[in-house]
Amino acid sequence: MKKHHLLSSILLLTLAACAGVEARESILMPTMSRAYSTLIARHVEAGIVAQLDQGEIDAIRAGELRDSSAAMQDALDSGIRSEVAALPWSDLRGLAREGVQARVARGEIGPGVGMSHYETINQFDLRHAQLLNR
Amino acid sequence: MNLSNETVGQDFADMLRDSAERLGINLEQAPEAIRRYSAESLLRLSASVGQAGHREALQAETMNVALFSAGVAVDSGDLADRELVGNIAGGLAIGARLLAGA
Repeated sequence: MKKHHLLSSILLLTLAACAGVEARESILMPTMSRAYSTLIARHVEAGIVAQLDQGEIDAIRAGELRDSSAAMQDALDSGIRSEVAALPWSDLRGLAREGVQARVARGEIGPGVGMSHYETINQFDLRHAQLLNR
Repeated sequence: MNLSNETVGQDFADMLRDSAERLGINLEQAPEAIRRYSAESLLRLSASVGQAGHREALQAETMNVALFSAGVAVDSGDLADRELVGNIAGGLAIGARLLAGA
């Protein structure tokens, strides 16, 4: 009886794990991909431009960062978690925040709009952690 | 264009409802956590009324609810809930993207 109960528990846990993987692939990554292409990539680009303008990076480094951002989009589109995990999200996240900050400082967007953009970066960051931790 | 908090709130509520309706989803059936987060989004959106780039805030907040919902869907242990919330996340993410071209 105990053995049967154990097997049932293992089966349920396996099914739950499979469902988690399925949700990750069918819901989480496509939503993150849309968020990246629609909003995050734009913030990252604004951050790269801000760093270039301030002389913090040179054109070569800017090119590398743009490649990383494009790679992140490709990885999210691929739906392969290990490809996303291999990329430096923390660097891109920093650039995205800096990009929003620079746009607010220039008056291109208001501070309240900036808060909404920061929250998008925060939500993406949480989902990124969720994706890698599951 | 003179935007009031009510106008913005209505825009956002319409956006959420339209995205959901296209997928045959009743947002009132969404889990409490999502309805609560949507209310927080609306508060943030209200703070940007009259500011430069307000339309971007509408787009961002739509995407924020989509991202939040995706997280809820992955954590949900119930298949029906996961499907419902997954559809909400997908529909809103598409809606936010459409707003970019609006």
